[in-house]
Amino acid sequence: MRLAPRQKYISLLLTAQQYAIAYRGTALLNLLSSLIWVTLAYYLWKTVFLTRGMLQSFSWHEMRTYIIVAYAVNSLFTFQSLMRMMNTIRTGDIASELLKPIDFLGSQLSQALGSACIEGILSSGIALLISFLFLDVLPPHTLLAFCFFMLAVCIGFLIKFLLGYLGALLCFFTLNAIGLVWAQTAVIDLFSGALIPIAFFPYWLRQIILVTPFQGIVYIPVALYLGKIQGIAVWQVLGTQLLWMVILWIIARVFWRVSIQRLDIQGG
Amino acid sequence: MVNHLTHSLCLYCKLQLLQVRIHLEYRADFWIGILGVALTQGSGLIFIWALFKQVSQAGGWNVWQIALLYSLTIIPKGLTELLFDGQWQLRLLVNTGAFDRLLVRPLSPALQVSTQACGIHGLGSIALGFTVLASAVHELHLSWIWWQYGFLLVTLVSAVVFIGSLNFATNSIAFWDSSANGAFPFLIQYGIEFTKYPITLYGRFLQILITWVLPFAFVSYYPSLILLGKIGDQMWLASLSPLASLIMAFIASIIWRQGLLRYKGTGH
Repeated sequence: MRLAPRQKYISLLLTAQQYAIAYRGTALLNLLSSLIWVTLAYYLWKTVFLTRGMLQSFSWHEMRTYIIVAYAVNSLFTFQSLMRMMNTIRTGDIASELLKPIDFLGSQLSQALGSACIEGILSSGIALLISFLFLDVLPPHTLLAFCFFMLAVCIGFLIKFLLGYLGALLCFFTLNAIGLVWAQTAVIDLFSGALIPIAFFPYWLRQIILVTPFQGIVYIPVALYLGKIQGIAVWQVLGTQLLWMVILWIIARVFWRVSIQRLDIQGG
Repeated sequence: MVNHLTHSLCLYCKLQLLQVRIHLEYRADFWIGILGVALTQGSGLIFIWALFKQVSQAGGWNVWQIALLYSLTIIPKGLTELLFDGQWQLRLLVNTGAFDRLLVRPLSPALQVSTQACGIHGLGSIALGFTVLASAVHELHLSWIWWQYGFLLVTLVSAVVFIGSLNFATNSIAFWDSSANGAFPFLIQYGIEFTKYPITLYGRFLQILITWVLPFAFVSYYPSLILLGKIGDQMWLASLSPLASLIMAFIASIIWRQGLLRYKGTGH
């Protein structure tokens, strides 16, 4: 009895969820590691805001909120998910994946979504706990802002996933997966707004980042949450995010085709 | 005793050079690793740079002083990766039972485990660190007396001993829980991030934690007070850095020894 395509991907998603639940200890420890960065950012920004009330139109209250919400959003697609994608290719398991009647991109997306559900719950839980116990963060600007925020988070997740997928495909051409992971994580963290709101970069750097997909991952969702983007600009940023997602999806498809053909030629 | 020590040192160098040669076989991967690490550490520096575009000084520290502090952390970190990265393989060795093979050889297990891998990517941290250090010394117009150069050397060496010992101690968890993965040791060692910035910016609790419980502050912060000429009542703590490292090495050796005694093998 052949399964209809949709059931295949759903079952992968559920398996990934179960895996994430089984290894929740590890997930928790990794989230705590990210919290170390959150603590650092909190204290450093606190010191800076002592001398000035408002910086780049951010108040200290908004900055605190930014740090914690950015942390929750960035934790949806983790280091582990990226390593899992890369390891499939690096270890040669890709050979058995190709034999399966499943689209590789689709299967990876299902697994990433599955993990994200559990890790998202964990990171949001931690974020909420910290917010109420220590940080006193702002709630979403309006209910509408929150809806836009959730939409932007979903698109941003897909962008981060596709960027990770493209990075994983590079494993066809190099053995040093961990080096690629570090490089990619550093660049994405920096330019997505996870480390620092894009508004704090100098003008020339902001212009460069505008023509890249990165800010759609963290900065745009959190800016929507804080109500920093209003009116027609909301549709503009969401449209840009969506456009980048489509572009990256197309690039991913093309690159996959190129990589697979190369794999065959090398005598697989 | 001395003969044994020099013999061990000789073997260590030979085994590590083997690992280095393995890495150099794959030139592209070698450079990707270095790039990855350089980008990761560099993103922290970019964060500081962007932060200090907003204010000229924070908590009595200006941007180049913090850059110096930052470099004092990443140089020993890179050196430790170069020298002691093999420890991360311990849990894999214990898990698969390959550790038994190490135990029957007429060599200290600690030596063998340390030479299982060489984090050649640490060179990226070291290069970046020294560049930033030199720039900071130049920009701050620091003119050190001869003994301050000596103190810098002592600081770096004791920092390497400290981080390496912590690496040893935390990875020894594999003896107690062979199914554990690297998340716990990673989390503890990630605390080094706290010493990249002046600890006076943190809350009281955190300061006490990283001075007396997990004495990361002795890696770079307290020595930096002497190197930057920051006179204050905390300067005497800087002289305790080598002591802190020796205590950490002692504790690590005890934990390692206890772990070895506990080890019963996985029955392969």
